[in-house]
Parts: sequence; structure tokens; C-alpha cells
Amino acid sequence: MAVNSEHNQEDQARNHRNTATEHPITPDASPVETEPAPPWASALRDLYQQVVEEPLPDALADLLARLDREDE
Amino acid sequence: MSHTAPPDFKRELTQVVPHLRAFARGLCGRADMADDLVQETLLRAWAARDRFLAGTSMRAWTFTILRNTYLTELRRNRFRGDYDEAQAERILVEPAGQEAPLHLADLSRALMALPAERREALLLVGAGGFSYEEAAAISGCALGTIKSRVGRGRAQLTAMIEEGRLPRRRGGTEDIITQLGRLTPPRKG
Repeated sequence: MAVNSEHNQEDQARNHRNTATEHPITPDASPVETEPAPPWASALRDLYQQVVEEPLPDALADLLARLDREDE
Repeated sequence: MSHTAPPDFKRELTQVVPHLRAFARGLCGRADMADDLVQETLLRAWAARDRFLAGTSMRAWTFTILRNTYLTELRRNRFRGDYDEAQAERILVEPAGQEAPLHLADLSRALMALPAERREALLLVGAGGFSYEEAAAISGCALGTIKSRVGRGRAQLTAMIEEGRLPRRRGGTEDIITQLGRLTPPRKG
């Protein structure tokens, strides 16, 4: 009986693992990249990243500095 | 002092400005217009700072404001002007060393030729690295809608680039404005 019950526990554990594999923990999260990336995908990120890395124009830096002082 | 934003707000807002500039430039294709859009977005975000939930994504929050600002301003025609493709290419394609600048120029041209809602979806997910859920929230549409826009945008870009069917050099703004009718209107509040 002891052997049997151990066996059952193993089965349960295995079933649990299988279930876990079939149903990922976060079923609502969608995979961001399921298909192979198209050849232009890195260029698209580069276009974006180029702008991110540009120095901040004075007009925007000035505006940020003014925000605190323009408290109503 | 309920109107005084915590120091974190200002710091986080400052940190996302480069991303706001990148998203704005991708949306409208012009650097001057994009920075006007970012200025307006910063003012609106600052005015609404009491509504920002600490600990949530400042980038997603401000992108939503920028997008709504863009649509509102375009409808008012405040930003109407000729889309200058040559200028857009000069702006988008910085001296890039060995990074195949021609490819980037082609890509930026193709991107501006996409329907606005697909361009937006690709910018958010493909360039900005947002999840589909975040992109759907920013665009005010369903998850399935954003997935479909990304998928169609990808296919269309691939076709244009790989088959060399790049858009001709003129015409931009008019197309973009007619496409706006299909975008989800900005949310109130």
C-alpha cells in the first residue's frame, strides 16, 4: 500500500507538471515575438533608438526646468 | 500640498522624454512637429500629475497622452503641413556609420506609407518594446485589434521592402489625415 500511495503521488506530481506545461502561469500574457523577426525589425528599433539617444533640445530642457516653477 | 508632485514624478517624466521624442517622430515623421507634440504632452502630463499612479509605467502613461494630443492637434489642423519626405529622411537617418543608412531611409519611407493605425502599432510593439497589452491600452483598442494591426503592418512593411515596392516620393500628409478617421478617437479626460 505504501508503494502504491507513493506511486499515486508521483502520478499526481507528473500530472500536475503536465498541466502546468499546458497552461502557462500567466494565460493572459501574450507572447511578444512568436513569429521569426522580419529582416527590418532591428532597423525599426534602430530608428527609434537613434532618436532616444539624441541630446535633448534646449526647448524641452527649458520646459522641464520651468515645470516646477509653474505650479499653480 | 496635494498639487505638488513627488520628486519621483518629475524624475520619471524627465527620463521618458527621449522616448516621447522617438514615438512622436515615428508617428508624424517630422522632427519639428514631433518636438512640439512632446512639449504639449509634457504640459498635459504635468497638469494631470495627480492622476498618475505611482509605480505604474510612466512611459505608457505619457505615450497615451502624446497619442491623444497628436490626434487632437491633427484634427484641429494645427500641425498640418507638407510632409517633407527628404527632410524626414535626413532627420531619421543620422550618419550611421556602417549601419546601412539606405535601409533605414527605406524603412522610414515605408513606415510613413503605412496606414496610421498600423504604423502606430508597429512603433509601440516593434520599436518601443511595449507588450501587446500595453500597446492596446495606449491605443485605446482591444488586444486582438492591436495584434491584427501589428501583423498586417509587418506583412505590409515586409512586402514593400523585400519586393522593392516602396512608395513614391510625394504625398504624405493628405493620406495621413484621411487615415486618421480610422484611428480610435482620443479618450476623454
